Amino acid sequence: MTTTERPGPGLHDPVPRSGVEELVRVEGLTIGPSSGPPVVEDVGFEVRRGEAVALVGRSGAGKTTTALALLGHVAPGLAVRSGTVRVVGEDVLAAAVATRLRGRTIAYLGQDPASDLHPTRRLRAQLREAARSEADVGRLLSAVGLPTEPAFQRRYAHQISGGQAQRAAFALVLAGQPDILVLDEPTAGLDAVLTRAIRDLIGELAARHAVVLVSHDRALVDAVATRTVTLGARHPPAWRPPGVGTHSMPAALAPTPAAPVPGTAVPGTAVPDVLSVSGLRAWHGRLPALVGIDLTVPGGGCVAVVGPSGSGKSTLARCIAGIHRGRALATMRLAGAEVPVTGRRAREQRRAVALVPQDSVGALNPRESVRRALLRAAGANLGPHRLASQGGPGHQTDPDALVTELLGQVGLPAGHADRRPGALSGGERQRVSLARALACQPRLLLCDEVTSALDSQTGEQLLELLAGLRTRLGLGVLMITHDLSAARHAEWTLVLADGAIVDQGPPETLRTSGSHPVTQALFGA
Amino acid sequence: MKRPAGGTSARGTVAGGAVGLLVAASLLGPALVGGSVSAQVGLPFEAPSSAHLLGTDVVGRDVLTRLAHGGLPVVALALGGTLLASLVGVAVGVAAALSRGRAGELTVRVVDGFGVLPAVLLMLVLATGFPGSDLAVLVAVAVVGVPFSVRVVRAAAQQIAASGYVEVALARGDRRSAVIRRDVLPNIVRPVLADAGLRFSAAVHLTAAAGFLGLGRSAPAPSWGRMVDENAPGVALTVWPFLAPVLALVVLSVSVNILTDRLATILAERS
Repeated sequence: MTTTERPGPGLHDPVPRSGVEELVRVEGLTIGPSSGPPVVEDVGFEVRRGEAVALVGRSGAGKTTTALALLGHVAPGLAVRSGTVRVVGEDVLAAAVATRLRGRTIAYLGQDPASDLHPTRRLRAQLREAARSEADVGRLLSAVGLPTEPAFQRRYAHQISGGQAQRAAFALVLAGQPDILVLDEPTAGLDAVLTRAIRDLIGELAARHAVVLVSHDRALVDAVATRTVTLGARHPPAWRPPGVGTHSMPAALAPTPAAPVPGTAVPGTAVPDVLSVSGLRAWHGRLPALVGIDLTVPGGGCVAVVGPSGSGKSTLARCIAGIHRGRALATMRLAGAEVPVTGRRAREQRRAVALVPQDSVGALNPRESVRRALLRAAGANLGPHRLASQGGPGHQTDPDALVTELLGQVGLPAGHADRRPGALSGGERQRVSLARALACQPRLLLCDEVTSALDSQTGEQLLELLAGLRTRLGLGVLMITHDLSAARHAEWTLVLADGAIVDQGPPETLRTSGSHPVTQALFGA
Repeated sequence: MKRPAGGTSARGTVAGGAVGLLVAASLLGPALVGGSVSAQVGLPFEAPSSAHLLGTDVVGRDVLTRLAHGGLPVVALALGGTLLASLVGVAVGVAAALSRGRAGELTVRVVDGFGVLPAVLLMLVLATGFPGSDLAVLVAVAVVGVPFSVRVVRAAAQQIAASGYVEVALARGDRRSAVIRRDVLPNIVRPVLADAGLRFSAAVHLTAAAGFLGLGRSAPAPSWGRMVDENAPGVALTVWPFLAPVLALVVLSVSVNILTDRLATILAERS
């Protein structure tokens, strides 16, 4: 596994030039869709060598949009309305300038850095191509705390862990010896141990380069940022959906939110289970990924699955959703009826489980408006919709009303219906993804890392939203997460390690008296 | 890696204009310039005059008329072959990308087999099967293009197939055809277009060569490639009957190349 050793001497390159050097200057930057309110409004800041400037703000404040503008990239559907962005004194909003500066002068590491690695080339080949000389490959690897031996260099991206892939992507970016590093949520989706290692790495990098950091991880920002720029401060606070927050669900920051709520169920009570799985075994090729998993999710209940990366959490979700591509065996009952793990499921059986996938960028079709995505998911159900009838005013069969209703359920204004994913923030995309899941009228929501790309405030709102939906609609929720504060909302937590459940119980109990070393490492880190 | 892009946009515009003009001229030429392509109107290799602006060819036919009619087989066959290759490429590539297990890998290996056939040899063999017909050229252009098209489409579609939105759609039981129509196809349009541009550029070379080698529609029918071959012996007497089709071919293939390069750059920058 990845070590936490300090970065090696490879970082001392390039040598810092003259003392104070202004590398980035942004003035009066306003970016927005062709109509409607801007995503980024009148932002200005500068970055000098040796500085780490953090862009902070709630989800939707335009952090990523601003960061991408530093590379001269504006997402489709958005346009720069006014302002300038200068990188080493040049106007990076000009396409030719941006092309020249990218990689060598300013480099970007996105929210899913591991996807920057080429899937069918060895690490060594990729690094050698990006680096200037053969000798740099080893130095780059040691700089990011990865093993340098040839056996490791010969691996492919899929043969290293998620944390290692993240570091390898760092190494790849550093190979171009950029002056400015733009890091977008570099620790999202990492467990606590890896987060600390990446934090140390960023601290080292900031001393030599200029770093622009986008993160909702307050601890990371506090630890490495020399300055913070708050975006979206002028806007009113996040719009809260009606009924959420005032609901009789555990308050977001209450000290013991895990107490079972009347009306919901804990395992062992008489409420019928939405999902029960016994003896789930799954393989990737010939490698066993899951070995004998038993779990149940009661109607209206929430079960969390936590575990270190590579423990089989996503495979578990894919088996339950029926999209696991390898071999899998289990007895699985969904809403009372037995369903196969692999192989054919009836359309209604498929729609009973709704997957809310991990990666909020890839979760939505970039060429499809929110309205189309939602209506498509509602599909044949465009009869009386259960959600629509919840509100009281009779059955709604009008597509527009349904879209508005679904967006309302997840706390988004109806005006977002015509936007494409490129014009939405990470948090908004995650909400649309949730609304799309609800459009299927599922009995079980399968949430895979739904909060990992969100800032803590937005994440809590999303979790409250889920809690509200559970009670109102009797939805079961299976929450797969790295984020232990998200797991606090569950009544029951399973700890997964190496494809097996090694510990389980209410989250508070696990925190105080978890016996397995993995449990202790997770809660202790 | 991206290189500095200074000046390419102006070159792209000029190339685009040239391609547009030549393609339009070759497609509309037969309609605009009347007259017979096979009638003898003078002595062989007469110099340009007011009656025959580009002079006469090896058997005394009007070169301008033949030039106007001779672009059609080059451009239309290249366009048709490219279209055919792209259609097959998209169908096979998307199916291979979405198939489970080894079927997709196997399909691509089989299609790759066609990729090793030399284009001109393939065309010559096909031409013996369909003597004097443009069909051989059309099929050769398509068959040569398909393997590359399949690879490009499959790679692009695999990426989309692994995305969250496709998984969600399949998990909720959307039909495969719906997933292909709404999720996969709209997101692979760019690589498919860029690939088709490159295919077209290669196809123009092949159809021009077909004319030069005397393949495709037989003798009196004009084709720029064939005109080069026919009129080369008379260069000492008058250069235009030879030079005009050469220039048309050179300008067409060079500007198609520049245009596709430019197009690929633009698409890469946007994506």
